[in-house]
Amino acid sequence: MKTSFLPAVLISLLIFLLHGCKPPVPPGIETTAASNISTASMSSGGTVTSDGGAPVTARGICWSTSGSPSTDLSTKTNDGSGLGSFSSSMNSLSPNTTYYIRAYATNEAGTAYGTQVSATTLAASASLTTTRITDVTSFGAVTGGNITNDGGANITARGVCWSTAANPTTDMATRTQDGSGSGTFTSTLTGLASRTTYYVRAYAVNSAGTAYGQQITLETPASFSLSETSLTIAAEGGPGNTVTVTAYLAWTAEVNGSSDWLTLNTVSGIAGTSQLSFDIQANTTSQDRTQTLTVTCQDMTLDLTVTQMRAGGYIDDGDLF
Amino acid sequence: MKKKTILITCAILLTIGCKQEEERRLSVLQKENMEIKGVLPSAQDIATKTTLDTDGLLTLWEEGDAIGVYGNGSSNVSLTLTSGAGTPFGVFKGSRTGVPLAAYYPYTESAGNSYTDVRGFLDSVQVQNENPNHIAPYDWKISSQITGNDQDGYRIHFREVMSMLDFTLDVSGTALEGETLQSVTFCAPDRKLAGNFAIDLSNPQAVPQFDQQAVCRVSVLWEDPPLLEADNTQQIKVFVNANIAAEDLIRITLETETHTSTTTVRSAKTMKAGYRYHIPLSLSELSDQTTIEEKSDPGNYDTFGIYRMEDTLITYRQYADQWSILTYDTHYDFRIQNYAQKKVVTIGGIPLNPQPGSTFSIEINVFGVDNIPVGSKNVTVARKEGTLLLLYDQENQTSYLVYN
Repeated sequence: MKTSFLPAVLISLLIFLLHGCKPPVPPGIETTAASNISTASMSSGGTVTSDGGAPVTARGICWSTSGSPSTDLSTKTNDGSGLGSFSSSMNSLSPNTTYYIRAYATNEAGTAYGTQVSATTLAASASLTTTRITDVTSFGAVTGGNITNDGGANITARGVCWSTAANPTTDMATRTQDGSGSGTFTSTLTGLASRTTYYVRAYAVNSAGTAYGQQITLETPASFSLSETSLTIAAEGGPGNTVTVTAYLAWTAEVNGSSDWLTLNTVSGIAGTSQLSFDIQANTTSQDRTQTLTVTCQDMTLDLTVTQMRAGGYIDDGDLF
Repeated sequence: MKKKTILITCAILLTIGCKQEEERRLSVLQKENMEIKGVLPSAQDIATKTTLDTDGLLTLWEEGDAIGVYGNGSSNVSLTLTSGAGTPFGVFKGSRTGVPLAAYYPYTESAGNSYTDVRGFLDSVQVQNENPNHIAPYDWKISSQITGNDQDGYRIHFREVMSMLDFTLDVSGTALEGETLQSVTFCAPDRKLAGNFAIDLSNPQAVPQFDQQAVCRVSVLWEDPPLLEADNTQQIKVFVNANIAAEDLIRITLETETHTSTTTVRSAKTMKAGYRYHIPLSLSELSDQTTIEEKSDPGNYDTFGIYRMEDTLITYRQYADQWSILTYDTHYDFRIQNYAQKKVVTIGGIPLNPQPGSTFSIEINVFGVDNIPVGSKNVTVARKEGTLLLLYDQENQTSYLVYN
């Protein structure tokens, strides 16, 4: 019985000796596919499958935008030591950028790298500002935007959008489309209503979505004004009574109802400053009389009340008793 | 007159042509004359010489109308209508006034030098012709606004300061039918309806301040007294101070040759200056408030004195008595006295030029006489011939024959 076990023991000892004398090799390592990809970060990691005959003293991942990243780069993680799986996070990445990642593991034999994987960060929304509004009229204004960062993706559309409610979006029809690309652009707002408060934002669209500049408030002025909205004319009346109309658009005027003592000489006018002119017959009645003229421009009307004083005399007060 | 708005163009007696225009551009104040210019209205069917338009409210200027203007450096300058008669827009001309500060109508020579204290007079006896719209210079008005400048002229807006009473008189079915209307008297006891007044033209809202001697009645007489016919109303215009309050007692007296009608009512309104008040005086409809009396004969006396029917209360005796008159601005006193007997009778407060049919109050004072009732008496001018004036107190059936 003793003799029968001896060869096996010897063989085993030999094998042990032979093996114990073999030098260590770099660890075995596998790279985990990237996950949790965002515009500036993603996750990866690795699995140390073997220590290569020596303890694994460091492990992690390294990455770069070019292939075969190594631990020489600063863009790496240090995720402990030993065998097994580990997770790593990559931060401060650029949006819409492809990164090459390798897991690494180090033992006294050296550093081993896992298979290289690659992943691309998501594109970011653009960064932009809304330009100060100028050339405000009752029906329009000029503004625009400045796209300072395209978010790593092409700007495919840009312009401004506006609304009478805060935070207008491009879902609205009230927007301009002013080309594409980064940089400044000018937008012209039209079709505005007079005497209205609008909220305006520049927008830029890229693959990451639509970004907006800061909101600016726009107050449109009245579409026109009259130098006077009420006139008192002496009883003798006369031709060429005028009221100055200052308008952003063409205007029209009409006599409310009919009048046998007031005649309009001007029934329309152009944008800018013009005169509304009318003739007044003498008032030979004993009563003051009033006629209203209506001036219309864009979405506004204003009444001009013309009162002509009575020529004189007495006012009837009915029966004394 | 009549009107309310006028344009004063301190201008220039232009004849025609460029020279006139040049002169006009110069200062009007350098001219010796001022012209007040008005704008004529469009064609209107306005009868010549009327003073109220067809609506009975609008006042129109009339030939001969004159306004008084106070300017910076002038006072109470008379400017006379030169065009615009029959319209509310007159052009007046007269001596230059400088920049006009205030104006009034009708021009009154005795209005004074201060436009803050203009002295006016509203006649208590107002004469009407056959055209009831001819209102004569009773519609006192003052400037309410003056606009313009030397270059373009001045426009003066006037406002009425009296109230107009517009009677519609109907005597149908009464004893007055077929008689001639001699007078209509509107009386509000204790109210100041006519006489001398002062008004401050610096205050556009000013109202006339009548003096203590103001009378409480205004009478209307006719140049050609109208015949009162059934179913034919008479239109009568009377101008009074707006001094009647609601509930005031009003007495309206009609005098014909043989009847006196007195209607007593209460005012339903407080009068305001510049307003017209209609007085629907239908005697048959107002029968409960109206008394109609047959006039007694005032007598046919020919010697100054006081008579009651057949009684002679006092009569002037030549060589034994003296008579005299004391004349004041608006009235005079007639006096009979006997120094020997120390008797004096004074019939005071007689208007300077009373018209036949007019009614007013006189004041009787006596000294050394005990058969003559003293105090205030309401009398009507029954006769005016030469220097004789017969006043009749219907209520007391007393006649006063005085010098006039």
